[in-house]
Amino acid sequence: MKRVLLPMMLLLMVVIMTACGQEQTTGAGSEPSPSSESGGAEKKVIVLGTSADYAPYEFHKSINGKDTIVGFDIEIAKAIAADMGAELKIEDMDFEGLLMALSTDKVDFVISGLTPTEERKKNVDFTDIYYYAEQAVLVRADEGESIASLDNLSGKQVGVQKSSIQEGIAQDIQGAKLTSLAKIPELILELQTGRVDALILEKPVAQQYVKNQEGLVVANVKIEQAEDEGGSAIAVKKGNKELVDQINSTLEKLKTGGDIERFVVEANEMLGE
Amino acid sequence: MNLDFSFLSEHWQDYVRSAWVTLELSFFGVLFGTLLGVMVALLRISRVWPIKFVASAYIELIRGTPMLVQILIIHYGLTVIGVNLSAFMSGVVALTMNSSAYMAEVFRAGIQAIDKGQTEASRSLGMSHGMTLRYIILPQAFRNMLPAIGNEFIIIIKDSSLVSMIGIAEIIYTARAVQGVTFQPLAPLLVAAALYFVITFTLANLLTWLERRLSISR
Repeated sequence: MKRVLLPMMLLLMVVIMTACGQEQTTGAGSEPSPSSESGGAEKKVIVLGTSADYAPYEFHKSINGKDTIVGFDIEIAKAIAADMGAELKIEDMDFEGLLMALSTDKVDFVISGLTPTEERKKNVDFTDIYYYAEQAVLVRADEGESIASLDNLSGKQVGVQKSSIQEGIAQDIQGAKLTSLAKIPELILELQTGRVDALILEKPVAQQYVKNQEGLVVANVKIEQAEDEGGSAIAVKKGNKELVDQINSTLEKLKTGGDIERFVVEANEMLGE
Repeated sequence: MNLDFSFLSEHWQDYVRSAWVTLELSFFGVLFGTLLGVMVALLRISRVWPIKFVASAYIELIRGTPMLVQILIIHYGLTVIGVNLSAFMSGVVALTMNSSAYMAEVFRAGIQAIDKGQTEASRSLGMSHGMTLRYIILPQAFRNMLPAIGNEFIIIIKDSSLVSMIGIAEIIYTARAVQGVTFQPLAPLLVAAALYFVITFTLANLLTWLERRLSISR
């Protein structure tokens, strides 16, 4: 017994020590670690909540062997943090958990291609809209022709991301049966294996899948949306007027300077690499 | 559907890092879970009924609710009372609580399985109740419990995948991140499955080896 115990204890100590030396276990090392040795005043930290499975809005990319969260939403977040003179920290979590994280102070603001709906407005405050995206219907290539309008989805199995704006659109289709899942890749699998007949996704996202997976096409369907329904805005905790104003002024600057379009193009280029 | 594993050349480091995080999480979960589990088990077999009641209630509550709910409550719910844990800490706390409840039952069964005569004999030798437990009962019970403990280790490793939900960069989180970048739904998951298998299979073999070392020749 003793002979077994000693090596086990040693192993245990080594693991504990290495574990303690490794702080950065969450957020996938999305940010450079705070430069503690470079001295200077303590920098303010602002925490961004996002669900990084939504290319080109936000997604993971290996940059110089380091897992990094990138995308045009992230570029906007960086600009906001820079204007506030704060350091940006990114928390990546499930989409459904985002608004909850906001109201429980886990994060300061959420940028995740969020559409400001009336229901969400009850729980969080939104900034101005920074980007309008079109919705698209993604289907298997052999069914591309048969779907020409949303009404054609009646009686079909339709996949959408849980708690997303697309879920609301799909719910309005008469007779459509819904499959709501947390992550987009799972929806793609459902489509490829024939368990759902169509997915409703934002167009830039759908187009990336068409480019990267064989046998998928974007159906020729135009989805009508009210102006205020298709846009993405940034969410902050209810009642934090100061932060909303601050972010709005940054957004205004980015919009007039044409920076947001540039971010979108760059994010799409990053995906193609 | 085309299976293409070329993303590994770019993302293998992420997988290795995340496997390490999974190991860390399960290690702390199992370590603290075992310690807490022993305590809960001892309280559970206590003869003072309020203590016994609290311990049983704890075990039933943890075993009777899904781990996912526990993770979410610990991560988000605790902020209501002003406890704001980091995702990693929330994960460790959730895994610890979960494994402690199951471990407690394993320990209780193990302790109760030791013949009553052993207690009687050591008490007759003048050992106290505590000494009996420590020197006579627990060492024997531990040997019998080893397969069940090993089983629990493996379950915790697999269940740690649930904490990807709150954004801890463990194996499943990485697999999903890779899914998101490569637009490949299946292949990143297969890599994750392979990693889990390597970890649990290695551990299972280690435990078998340990079991053999500790077994008495009969």
